[in-house]
Amino acid sequence: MLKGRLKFIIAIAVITLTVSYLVYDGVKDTMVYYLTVEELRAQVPTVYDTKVRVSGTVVPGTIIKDTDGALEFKITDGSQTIDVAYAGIVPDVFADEVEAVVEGVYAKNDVFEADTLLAKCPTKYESTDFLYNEKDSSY
Amino acid sequence: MVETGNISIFLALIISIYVLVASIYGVKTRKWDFVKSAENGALAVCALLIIATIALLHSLINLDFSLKYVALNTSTDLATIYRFTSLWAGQAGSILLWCLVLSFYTAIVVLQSRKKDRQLMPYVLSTLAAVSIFFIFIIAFVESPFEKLSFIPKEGRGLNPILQNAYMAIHPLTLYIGYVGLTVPFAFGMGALLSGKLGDEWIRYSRKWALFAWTFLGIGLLLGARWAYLELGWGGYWAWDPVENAAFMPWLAATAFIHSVMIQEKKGMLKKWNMALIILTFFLAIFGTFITRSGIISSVHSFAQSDIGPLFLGFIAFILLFSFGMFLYRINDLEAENRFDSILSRESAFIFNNLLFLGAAFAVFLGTIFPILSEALTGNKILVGPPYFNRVNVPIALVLIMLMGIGPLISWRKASFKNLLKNFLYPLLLGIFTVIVLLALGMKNITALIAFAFCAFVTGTVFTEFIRGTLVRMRRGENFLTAFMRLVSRNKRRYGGYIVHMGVVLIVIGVTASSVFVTEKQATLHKGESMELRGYSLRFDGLKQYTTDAKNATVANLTLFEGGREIGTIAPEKNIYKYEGNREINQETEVALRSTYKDDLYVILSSFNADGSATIRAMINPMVNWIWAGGIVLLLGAIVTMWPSGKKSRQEAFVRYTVREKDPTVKAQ
Amino acid sequence: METVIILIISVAVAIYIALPFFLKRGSQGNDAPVILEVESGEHEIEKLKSLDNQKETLYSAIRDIDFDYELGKLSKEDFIELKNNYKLDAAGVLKEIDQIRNQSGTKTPDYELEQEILSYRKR
Repeated sequence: MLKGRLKFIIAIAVITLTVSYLVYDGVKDTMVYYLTVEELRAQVPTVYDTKVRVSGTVVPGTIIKDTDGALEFKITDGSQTIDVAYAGIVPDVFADEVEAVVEGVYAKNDVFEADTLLAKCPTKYESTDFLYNEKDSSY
Repeated sequence: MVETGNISIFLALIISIYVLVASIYGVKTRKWDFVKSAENGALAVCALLIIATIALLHSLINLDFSLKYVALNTSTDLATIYRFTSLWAGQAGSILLWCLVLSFYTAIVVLQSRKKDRQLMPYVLSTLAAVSIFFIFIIAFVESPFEKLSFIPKEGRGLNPILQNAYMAIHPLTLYIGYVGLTVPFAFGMGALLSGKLGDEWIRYSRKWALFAWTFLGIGLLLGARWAYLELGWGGYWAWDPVENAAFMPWLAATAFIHSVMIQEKKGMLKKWNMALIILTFFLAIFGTFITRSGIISSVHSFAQSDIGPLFLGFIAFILLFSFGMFLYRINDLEAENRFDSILSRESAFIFNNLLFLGAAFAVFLGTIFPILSEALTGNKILVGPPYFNRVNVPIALVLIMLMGIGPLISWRKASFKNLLKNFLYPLLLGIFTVIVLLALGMKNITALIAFAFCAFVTGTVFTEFIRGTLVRMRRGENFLTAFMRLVSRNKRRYGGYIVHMGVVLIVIGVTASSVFVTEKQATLHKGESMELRGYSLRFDGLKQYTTDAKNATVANLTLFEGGREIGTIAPEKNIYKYEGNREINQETEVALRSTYKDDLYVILSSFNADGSATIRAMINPMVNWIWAGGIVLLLGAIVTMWPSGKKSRQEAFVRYTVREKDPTVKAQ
Repeated sequence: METVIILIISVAVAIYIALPFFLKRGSQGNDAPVILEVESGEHEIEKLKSLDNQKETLYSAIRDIDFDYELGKLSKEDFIELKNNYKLDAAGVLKEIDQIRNQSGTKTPDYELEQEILSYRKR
């Protein structure tokens, strides 16, 4: 029955097109560039006020915690450093020298206003450096 | 024991290669001794991997720090139960676990299917062996759990505190049973392609395995979500993190598969589709484990960075090319036997179901690999976060819920429109009634309204099915209870499936409520001060400190009031772990949670100050418990669908086929 | 000591794997009660199995239709039409099975249902 088959094909086409559209639209509206600190600085002033994600290592000694929970710190990628301000939930891992990822907007006063802060879970990595420190005190 | 464990792994690898070769040789030359020998080999591999696992467990429990794996994952202050679970805490141990689970599946397939199809089974076995070879190779030569250090440290690095709880103890295990379990239907599919037995034997044999793996994968996902909710302290349970997506994608494809195989079984259609689908599902499972282990997509949960990545990629490429190659080779033999009569049939509903699930899987896949893809194509790393995933998946999910309601009302092949409308009526009214009530209560969010309406509709359909089915049987003279019991036991797949759908409905209700109607507040309080949140009031009574062997804890004691009435205390903590080995995480936030079916009150001690004041963050997450309850219902329904039917096996006993003794090398079965 | 254990394991495994080449194959032990013995060439066996499965699928489809009709999901016309289609298909399958089984001439377990279907065909 050709008519039945046609109805099918139309239905399948509709579903496929709709999903494709949702994907396209979703990506377009929510895509966020993932930059290193250096790349961010390089894109000033065009990058001001656009939503981006930046990763870097927390510079030791720069973490300032306010009494009302607001957080300020600096991150660096080795060559450049930026200031970050954040007022949400702070991951437990967050500390000096941790790899942090912030998402938000780089304001014109050169402070990155983050609405999301992620800190990298310790790599269950097989780095045995720590163990070597213990070596001297072993058998 | 270490040497024994080590050698066992090498033996297992060698024997697995033998199993692969012998089973194929045996079936091609019809020398059934080889096949039987290969089967024994598979059982031997299982025994050897059990020995290896016991060896590693022995080293872990006894803290044999001469082994790199033990030194990295345990410490002298680690409780025994967690020494046990540290088996799967790191790369090498978890791959050993993977191999072990796969060998169990292989062994059970061998034992269960011995009397089944002689042409098909050896190829199934060889596929299972091939996959096993890859994973055993990794623990034999790339990441050995028995690798030794050049010295013996006095203390190990220890297990990350956030992994030291019951959920993290079983979540990886259930996930693996799910992930690895998907290898079995895949092996049956490949067996069909390789042997040329392209009827639906492979589907019939692998159906329960697919269901089983799907169930465990789903439970594993829920356990992971619950763990994240309780331990990670951000108030949510799902972040569309690559590692979460890694398990979600195969689950979506597997859901499509378990539905569409019902059509093939009943109608003999969709042969090609099902074959391609199981290949895709298995691919997603391996891809998922690749993402998790290789660190190629940076995720907050990344397990590791390592050179395992390229190996996995090679394996994935091999699977895809080989399986699709075989698929195309046999494509002409995968002929359909029937055509569709009508677009209004259960077949169509299932096809739409499949398309939507695959659409969702594709969307999640794209979003997950977006950073890699964009970097490869444009040089810039671009990512898409939760807003993308939610925007795409929520509409798809809503349509799927609606299909869940409509599907059962439609008959196979062709549904009568008039009858459909008649059956539609009550559930539809229930849905509309729900919307009206919610609107009257002040709910304005459209997505939530639609979601709840659809859930009510599905609930109406499911109850109608049970009631009507029972009534039909009662007309035949059975009383209510007998009718009901027989209804379910004679149609386990159908009614078990309905129970699973009810579980899904509960989960959807919980997810909708806790996503759309969250309230959150943060305040810094001095002793005696209170904060208000939607009818609840939290009074800060002060900080306290205490010490245990493992940690120094700071507790914020709060008293909870609801509508002015005192209902209890809440005490979130911030802990500092003493043991230096867990240097990367030495601070841990303990969430204080008060859960009811109405909502969860989720309280965190964000920070505290020298003057005794504390910054408290409180969230109200409505109806989160419905998600976990839904998971339990889902599990129960799945168990019903998988429950064996005594009748069928009796029937199989009635006919024995013997081959005429024309050829002396061919023996009777 | 451990070397001995490893040796024992290796030898045990090797023996177990080599076993099928040495044991006689009498013990394939199908313990299920046998009601029907069909002797046939290998090729026919496969065909019979496949037909048997098709038969089972069709029977269960008929049962489903019966149930769906009672549940009110199918109109009477649709029900009759679909059931007749299935019965026709089933009759065809049974005829094929009969042809192959002519050599053994025994009755099948679902004898009554098949008689009903065959008699429908004659109409």
